[in-house]
Amino acid sequence: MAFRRFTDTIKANGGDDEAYRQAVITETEELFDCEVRELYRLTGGKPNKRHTLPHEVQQAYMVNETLSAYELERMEGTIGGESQQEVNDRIDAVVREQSKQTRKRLPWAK
Amino acid sequence: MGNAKLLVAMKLSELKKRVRRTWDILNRCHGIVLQPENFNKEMATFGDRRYKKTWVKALCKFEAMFAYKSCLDSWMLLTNTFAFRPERWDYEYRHQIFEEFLMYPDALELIKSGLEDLFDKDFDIKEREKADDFFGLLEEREGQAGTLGFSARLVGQLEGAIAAA
Repeated sequence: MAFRRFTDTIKANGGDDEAYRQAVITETEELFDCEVRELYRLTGGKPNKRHTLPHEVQQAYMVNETLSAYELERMEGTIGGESQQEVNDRIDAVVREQSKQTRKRLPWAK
Repeated sequence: MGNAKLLVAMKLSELKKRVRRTWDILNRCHGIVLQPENFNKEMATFGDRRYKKTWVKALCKFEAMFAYKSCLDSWMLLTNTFAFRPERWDYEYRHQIFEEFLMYPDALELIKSGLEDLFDKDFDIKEREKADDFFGLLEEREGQAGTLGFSARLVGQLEGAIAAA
């Protein structure tokens, strides 16, 4: 499961429970230009059940979380920081960069 | 074993940093904090900034907002967001954060939806175990004077959702 791997790699890189939540906000913003809440509202998905989102949306998350997990696995042991917050921010930056790259390959890329 | 951190209340300086950080996360757009000058204006709505209680109020409000805003999968509220463990920095304020979250009109729906997923037969057992700390939070609420009525109702509704799942 892509999502599980994604959360596992965040943890393996030192991210805490907040790092995951930051990552969700970040990937949603970069992939869909909106917030999670809006995404459910605009697509008619049942909040907040991911499997009720349109297939294209679910696939975009799946692809992005898989690629982000690969990237985070590659970086394991290199992400440091003076505080938990710094570590979380670095993980967030990796997810943001990957999400930007993923977005370029999606049908709705600008 | 007890955690020494538990006994130490968060200092005001640390509290202020936490409030600012969560506010920044909530107001970030494509990696940039939008209108950082609004932080002071928003803080003024919580009361006198010289008092710790003002900052606690702000922290709990912003943390609840963060929980709400990042909720892509409602079951993650139970296994991650509100699965408060003593080693977490926000453990001290767990009840107030959860209380603030419950102010959202659909908060209970989200939790019920999370429970449905959590008790689905295909749900990963190990993942489900992570929600133990969430149930611990509910149990603690039961023991708190003053919240008993509401909490008993909440637990009753949640039990209904568990039975239905």
